[in-house]
Amino acid sequence: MPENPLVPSVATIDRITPETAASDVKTFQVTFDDPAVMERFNYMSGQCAMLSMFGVGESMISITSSPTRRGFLEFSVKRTGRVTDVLHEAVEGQKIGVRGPYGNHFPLEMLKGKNLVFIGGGIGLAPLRSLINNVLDNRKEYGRIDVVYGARSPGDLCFKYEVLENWTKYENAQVHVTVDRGDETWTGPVGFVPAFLEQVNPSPRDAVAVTCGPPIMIKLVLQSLAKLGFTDDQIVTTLEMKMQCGVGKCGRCNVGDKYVCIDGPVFTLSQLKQLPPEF
Amino acid sequence: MLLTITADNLKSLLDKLARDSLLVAPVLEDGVTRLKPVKAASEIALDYSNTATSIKDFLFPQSEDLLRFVTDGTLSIEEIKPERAQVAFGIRPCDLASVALMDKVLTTGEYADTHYQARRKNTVLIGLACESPADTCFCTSYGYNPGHSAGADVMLYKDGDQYLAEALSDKGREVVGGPGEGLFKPADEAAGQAVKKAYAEKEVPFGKEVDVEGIDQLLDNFFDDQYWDDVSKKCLGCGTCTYVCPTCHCFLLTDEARGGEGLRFRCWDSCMFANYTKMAGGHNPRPSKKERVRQRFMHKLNYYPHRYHSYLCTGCGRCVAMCPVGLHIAGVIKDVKGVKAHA
Amino acid sequence: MSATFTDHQAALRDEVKKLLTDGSIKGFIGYARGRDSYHPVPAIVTRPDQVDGLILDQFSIFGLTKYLLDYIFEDGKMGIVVKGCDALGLGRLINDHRVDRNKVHVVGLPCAGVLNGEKVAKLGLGKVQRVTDKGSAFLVEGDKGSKELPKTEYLWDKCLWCENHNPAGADTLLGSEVENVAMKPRDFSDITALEKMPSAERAAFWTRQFSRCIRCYACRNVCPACNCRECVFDIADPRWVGNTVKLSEQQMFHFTRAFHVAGRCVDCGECERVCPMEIPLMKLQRKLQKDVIELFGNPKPFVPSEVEVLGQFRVTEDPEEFM
Ligand code: SF4
Ligand code: SF4
Ligand code: SF4
Ligand code: SF4
Ligand code: SF4
Ligand code: FES
Repeated sequence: MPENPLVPSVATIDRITPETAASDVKTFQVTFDDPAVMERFNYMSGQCAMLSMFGVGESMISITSSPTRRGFLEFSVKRTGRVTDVLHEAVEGQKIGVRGPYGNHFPLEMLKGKNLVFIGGGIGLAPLRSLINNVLDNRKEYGRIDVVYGARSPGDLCFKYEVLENWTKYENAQVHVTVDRGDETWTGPVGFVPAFLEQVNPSPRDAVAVTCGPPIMIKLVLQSLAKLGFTDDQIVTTLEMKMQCGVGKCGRCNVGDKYVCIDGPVFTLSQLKQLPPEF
Repeated sequence: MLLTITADNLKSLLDKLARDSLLVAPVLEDGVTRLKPVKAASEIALDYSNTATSIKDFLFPQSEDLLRFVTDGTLSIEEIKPERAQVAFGIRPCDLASVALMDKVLTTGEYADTHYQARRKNTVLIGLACESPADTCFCTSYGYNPGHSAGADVMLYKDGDQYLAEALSDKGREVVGGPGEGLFKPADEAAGQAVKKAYAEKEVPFGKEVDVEGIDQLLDNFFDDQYWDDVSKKCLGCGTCTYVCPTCHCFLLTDEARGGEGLRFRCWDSCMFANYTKMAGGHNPRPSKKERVRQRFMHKLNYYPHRYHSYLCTGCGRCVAMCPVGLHIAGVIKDVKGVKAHA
Repeated sequence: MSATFTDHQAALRDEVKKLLTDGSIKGFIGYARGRDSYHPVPAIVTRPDQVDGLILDQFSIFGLTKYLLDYIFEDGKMGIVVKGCDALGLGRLINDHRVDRNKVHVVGLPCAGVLNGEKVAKLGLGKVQRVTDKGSAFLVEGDKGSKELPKTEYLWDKCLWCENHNPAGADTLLGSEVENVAMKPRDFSDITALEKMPSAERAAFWTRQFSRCIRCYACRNVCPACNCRECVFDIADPRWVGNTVKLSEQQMFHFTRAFHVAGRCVDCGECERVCPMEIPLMKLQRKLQKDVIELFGNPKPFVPSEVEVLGQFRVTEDPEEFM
């Protein structure tokens, strides 16, 4: 294990799964080459890791696998810039650098015994997927589960096998999927996530809502949740900022006096409201 | 124990230090005094208020190699450790204080910046009290002063044609007892204390104009104030203020590769640059000068104090002297107090 | 003798107040007091209540025109005060099609030369009370002393050979035009001296200068000729100039910038003046000016024209036969 927290360890991409029809989101299953590093990489749902494409740079990506399923890490990555472009060109067996895990995590203690509403948009489901699988693997400890998920089009839905089949098989778990625009194959609901959420109409009683997605979606989802009667303490979300170090040193990811890399990315809405609106 | 050393003996000591290790000291070149590695005491300038750039350059250099990588088919990463020991001479009290502020960020918390830590461990800081504060100095506003020795391994105070000296750490005692052996003499305790007191009480005129008291709390509810709009318009968005500041520590990581081999560097970055917070997808949470200027001053006077319980500024006055448009922290402190007083 | 800048301060404030109040401009770019009375700083005001913070004094050297780029995507006019040399900078931005002349209200300030605040501050005259133009000197009266300062010693270099004392094409002129003669001929002797240096010595000179550069880009950010939409030094992909501080990268930065403004530089001297590391950037610019004068026969490369010497190519005059 490198002594310097800014130095990554070598890992191998074992499997690459295209998620979307356009292949602009892919899931990379990765293991560290050194088993000791793999063993020590203890993470919690909601945490992130810094992926290195040497010669190009690094990108902070949320871990989408669940810590309940050990032995590998999964990252679902959307092509958005230099680093992710190169990562998308990677092939199975290729080596990359990984360092982490970084940041705080979803507050499992706060979720225990509660009814859970997960609201995701597009690739925003990636961090939630870690949490959802984590919760489902300990099904008895939680109440009713509703997953509300939307994407621009049917082809943009990620993790289809889990969303459309696997998760629906669990007891007292419901998955509600919508798309902004349907196509000839799509028979499900059509509409934006916030309005759809209001239709699904989950009860705020004994519930916690966890939402991730594009900023504009989050903004509207928060309004919808308020309408449904969720208080700020019952809403959990994540922030995304540009990052370089991931360890609270380089200074760029701050929102007010919080560093998103170490104090975030997970915040309750009441915590967020304490911060200056600069994200 | 207080010691004295004559100017000549100090020269011999510096010559020895330059020979045995890397000696960094103030050098006057083309009208600019700045810290530079020197080979002999004769290169060192002693007539300066403070150096244009600070000790930060040598503890947290503007760019440094972190690792070497080879990517042909496989991947190997080799960590690069910072190089040899160094002695820094002529460090002013405000800059000694800045090191403690940097330490809090870079060495405390869950992660330590191992490069910085290694340089810190391998650096001996020889402080030099200020004979003539510049008209931009305001260290006293933060409770420091021209004789403040905290952070020095050895502190020197010019006293007539000799120097009063004090070794303040094990590293400092090693210098005084090692290469300095035979060059120092015990000082008269009472006279020495009087010299220290005179430095500690030396007048810093600009410091009297800048009242920092309570500015952290005043800024708690100042984020949305029109002031940031007004004051930021003149900012050029250059990196001068942040690069010359001894306490600014923003950095970026960057790779340079050629033919399957390369280096990863850490380089200074600046929150005043437009692209600093711009994300890969294009969103920028600090899109204009207003947000960037506000960030710099809020960080120093409000966010950092929240986290680390002191201001991220030592009153060294570099931004006062060097910001091309006079947008500096002393002015902002005065302005904010003025706005609040009229509110 | 002639009026000083301070004599126009009241008129400037009245004009700006009027323009802001009647809505003809949405903001004004001028000067305010800096940390002492020798270092006025730029000030951009948008409300009439801010106007009394605007000053004009004989130390008002800062070339303000580059700020206009901050407003090109907004509606409405900006007002700006320009001296003769600043008008050249404005001309640069207009000729490069970066600033629309119709969106600027230009307040012209005829200028008999600006005092070098850095030099005068060192004289210990204290807070400046009054400056009077005595013809070949300025009388500076401060609260700690007074002194008559010969213009040839205490003006900025560029003021001595300035041939553009009156800003051309202003919308409003403060006072009346001043006599437009250079105090002495443009002086390239320092450049000639550098040219004559043995090359190793010259290389050592420039290495020393460039290795001091902290890459803050203040020089670029103030320069009216450095007005590209996206600067090559900011582009991350491909990264033409690395972030690391190595001599080769520093040289790459300085050579690229120098050549990019060659023939377009208006000789305002702002790059060198704002440089926190006091790198003599004007020696590079003036070397290129000298070359343009000597090689292209353009006697005034610093006066913006529609097409600059290095921006044109006439195939019929091209002595190169290969292509
Ligand atoms: S505050 Fe001054 S030094 Fe800092 S970026 Fe703005 S103009 Fe440059
Ligand atoms: S903010 Fe300015 S005065 Fe304070 S430490 Fe930095 S450079 Fe010095
Ligand atoms: S700010 Fe204070 S400690 Fe720093 S150089 Fe000036 S007088 Fe010395
Ligand atoms: S202003 Fe000076 S130090 Fe800054 S980039 Fe330009 S030449 Fe370098
Ligand atoms: S290069 Fe320097 S002198 Fe020439 S226009 Fe730009 S800032 Fe002015
Ligand atoms: S990413 Fe560097 S401080 Fe957060």
